[in-house]
Amino acid sequence: MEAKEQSKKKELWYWNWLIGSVALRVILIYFSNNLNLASRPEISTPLTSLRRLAEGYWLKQSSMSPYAGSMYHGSPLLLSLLGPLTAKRIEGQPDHILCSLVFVIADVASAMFIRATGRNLQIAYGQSLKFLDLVKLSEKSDILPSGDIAALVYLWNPFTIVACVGLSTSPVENLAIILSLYGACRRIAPLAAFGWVMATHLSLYPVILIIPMILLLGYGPDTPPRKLFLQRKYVEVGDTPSNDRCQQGEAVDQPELPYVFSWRPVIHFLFWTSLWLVYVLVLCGVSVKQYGGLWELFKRTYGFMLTVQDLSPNMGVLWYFFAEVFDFFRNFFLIVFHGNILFMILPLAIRLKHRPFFLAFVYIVISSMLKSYPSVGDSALYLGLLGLFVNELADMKFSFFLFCGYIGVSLLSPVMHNLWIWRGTGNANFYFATAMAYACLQIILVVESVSAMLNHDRKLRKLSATKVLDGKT
Amino acid sequence: MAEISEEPPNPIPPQPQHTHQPSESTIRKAKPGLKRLTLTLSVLVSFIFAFPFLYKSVEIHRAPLPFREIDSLSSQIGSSNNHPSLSFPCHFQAIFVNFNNSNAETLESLIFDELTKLTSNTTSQCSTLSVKLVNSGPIWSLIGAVDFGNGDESVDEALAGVLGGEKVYSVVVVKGKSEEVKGVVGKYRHGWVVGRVSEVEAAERVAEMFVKVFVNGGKEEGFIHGEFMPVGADGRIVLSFNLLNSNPHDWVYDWDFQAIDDTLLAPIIKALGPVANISVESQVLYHTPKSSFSFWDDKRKGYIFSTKDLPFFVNSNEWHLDTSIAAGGRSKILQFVVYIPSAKECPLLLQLPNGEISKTNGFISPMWGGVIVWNPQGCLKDSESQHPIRQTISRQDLQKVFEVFMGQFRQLFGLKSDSHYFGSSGTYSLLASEKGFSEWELDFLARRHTCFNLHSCATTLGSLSRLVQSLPRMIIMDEIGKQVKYSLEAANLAQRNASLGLYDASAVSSRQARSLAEDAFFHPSIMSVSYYSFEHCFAVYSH
Repeated sequence: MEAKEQSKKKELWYWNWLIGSVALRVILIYFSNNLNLASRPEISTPLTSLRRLAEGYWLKQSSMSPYAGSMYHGSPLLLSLLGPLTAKRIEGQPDHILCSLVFVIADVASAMFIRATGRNLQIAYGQSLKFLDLVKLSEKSDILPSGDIAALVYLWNPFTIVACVGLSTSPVENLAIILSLYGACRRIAPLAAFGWVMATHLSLYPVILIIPMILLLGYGPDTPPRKLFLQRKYVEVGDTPSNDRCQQGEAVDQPELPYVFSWRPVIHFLFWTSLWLVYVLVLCGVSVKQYGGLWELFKRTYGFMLTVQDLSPNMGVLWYFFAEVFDFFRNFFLIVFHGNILFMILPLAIRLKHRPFFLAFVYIVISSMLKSYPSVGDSALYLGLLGLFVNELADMKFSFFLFCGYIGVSLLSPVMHNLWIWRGTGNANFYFATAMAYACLQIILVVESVSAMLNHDRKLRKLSATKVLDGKT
Repeated sequence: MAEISEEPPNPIPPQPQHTHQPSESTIRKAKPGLKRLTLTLSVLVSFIFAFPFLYKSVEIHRAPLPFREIDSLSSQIGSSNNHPSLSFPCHFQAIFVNFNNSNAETLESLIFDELTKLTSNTTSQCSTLSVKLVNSGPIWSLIGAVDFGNGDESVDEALAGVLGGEKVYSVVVVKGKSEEVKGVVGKYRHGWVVGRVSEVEAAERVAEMFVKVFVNGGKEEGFIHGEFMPVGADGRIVLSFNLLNSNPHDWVYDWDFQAIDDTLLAPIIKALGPVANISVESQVLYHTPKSSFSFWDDKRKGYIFSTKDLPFFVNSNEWHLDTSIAAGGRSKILQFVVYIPSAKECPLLLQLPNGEISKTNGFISPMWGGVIVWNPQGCLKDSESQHPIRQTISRQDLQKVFEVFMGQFRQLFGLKSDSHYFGSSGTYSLLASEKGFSEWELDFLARRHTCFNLHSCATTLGSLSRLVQSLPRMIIMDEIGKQVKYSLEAANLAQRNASLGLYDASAVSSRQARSLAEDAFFHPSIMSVSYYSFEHCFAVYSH
């Protein structure tokens, strides 16, 4: 009874905060003209700017290719979805009010899915601990409801609010990624496939999330290392050699053993992926048939992302290399930056294969650091997902330093941009310094979170080993 | 990273019984197993897999440049700075009329000796020297029929009718009855001497006309300074004609430029085709005062400005002459300005250093252009009306102005407009052509421009090869290699044509050679790197 009341109070608390964030967004949409959020390079990049989408839509309406003139570089499906909304204007309301409402809805939906995923992960975590007979651990410390926290962190993160109000399409991309991860956690193959295909289609970099998703579908949500389960199982089996067969039967009968890779969901997922992929390609092909076909589409969207043709400054590091320093060895630097993302895939997958959701988080951080046009919308996503691991990452070092660092960079970066572009008293080095600091912060975040997670696993192993020893003696 | 995250030893004793005991739980006790090896190997394998792509992306592509050929071209053209020399064959033809035919060979050898004497002391351009004496044959009889008593123009035309087909320089010597010896150089490639001359004197005169006039262009050294070669690096000249109304409140003048362009300028531009590719622009400007002062002179009833004021005449602040699109490229722009003074300074007259008033009322600035001051008729001002009506300069006035322009244009090319040449053996009168340049003058210009262009091309290519060899890590694009190759080919073609005596073709090829060499040297991809300083590698951008 008490637990029920407590849980009801928690629900109310959550919903209050959610409605509060929606209200804040609506207020900012109406009253944030002075902030000029849509024209800041940290928020709107050549890939996510709504203004460019509106231009692409206008070009399409004038029966020209939406990619003519190198303004719009996104997906034609997004153009059909958001384009008509940008053209509609309502008297007395701010510009693009309908699109802003769409982004607010996308944010709220993302938060709901994060919460559901968090709940799922927490249930799985509880089950693993029970299996390992470490329930005492779960009751001893106050386990926070990571789903609610992560959802509220995502909603109230200033980066997310600014990305939503500042008319960038990041909320839609984030929604697709979160949808795919939710579907993979719940082993709903069609939903996961849809999310992954849409995420890859909108921005190329989520393609590397296929590995954690296959691991999620095969093994299930995050668990402690499988060695522990095997140790446990052998301990139980080896303990009473007489009841050998009995115990084995019992062990086998246990549902959802987290160390067995089940291929069925993966096959389903691959099937649905191919279905959705064909569907999306057919739709795109139909949209751009008159303007050069699919090859032209790929050149203008993915080719633009990979070859970094637009060197306007942003929060990343790539523009400075090509604009100020090394235009000769452009290919070399493109290979180095994208190769760094690819090199990280295999080692991390080997090391963190028992925690596929955390692996997805690490991939998202790395790709949002090294991608060609990063924005605050990308960091909004991983900072929200970071909240799902509050219990495991409680011991993370440098957390206060990172927090202050993020605040500092987000305050200094617009100032440096203003000094450079509008007042002319600074130069590109000022702005690039803040971009470099931002990249350093992200590197520290990745490194420390991975090490904190591995320490957590080690602690569990230690506790489980002591448990086993206690059990034996 | 995680493995070595032990707490560093600190003087404060560690907290007792911390719940998680990070130091104990993070140090591993067992040896690292196969997983770490797999991780390391996976990184190494990915790197090795990507290594060929990385290597290929940093290779420096240098198009091979033909350094040996460039060096040989430089040595062939000649290393001396001021007197670049290119050898042309000099073949002459002398036609003697009314002389007895007995000593034709001695006459020929006499002329040849004179020629050798004249060409030996100066830096000569003649690779081979030959003279042919004609005293029989169809040409001789036709020339014998020409009446040399008529006016110079008609004689010139008649001789052109006979000799016009050939590209050999010819001099006709006619033993006449008059005591006075007259020498005339025509508009084409021939000249004649009329009068009672002895053979020796005739030989001297003929040799002088050949060498001093035809070969050396009527100038002492036969050589034009670099400041009289107004052709741009891409072989083009833009002639910009400007009509400046200095005070439109007094009077406003316009001109019918199109008619003049068609009638007077078109033949000149066509004639100079081998030397430069010329285009013409014109504009009318208003409110363009000059920045120097003039003073009233009672005697001459006009406002006088002297040659000392000339450097300050052109008011670059208010004369917006550079509105041409070609101003940004490598073409040379020559500005020709017709300045109409205001009522306060009308009539405006130029006083020469010797005290006389200049007849043309204009001046040139080498490599910039020329200015002519045109005073409106009577300096009458329509003082009643607020806005004066626009008047057009009459056709005769415009014609006179353009004749002065022609003279200025010739001067900008280094040719004088005297109608007489004073040689050591006598004076020769030089006939003027309606094309502005006579054919032998065009030949002379073609030869000199060929020399200059080849010299400039060799210098540029030499600098390029030294630059490329001194920066071994600079990327050389294929386009530069191709431009150098074509430039060398054009230079060789120009030299071959010159040795065959084809002046026009060699001028065109040499222009091409120079333009391609300049394009290669000033190619945008190497322009930024050639000023690369080593300190940039350490981010020191101080100077």
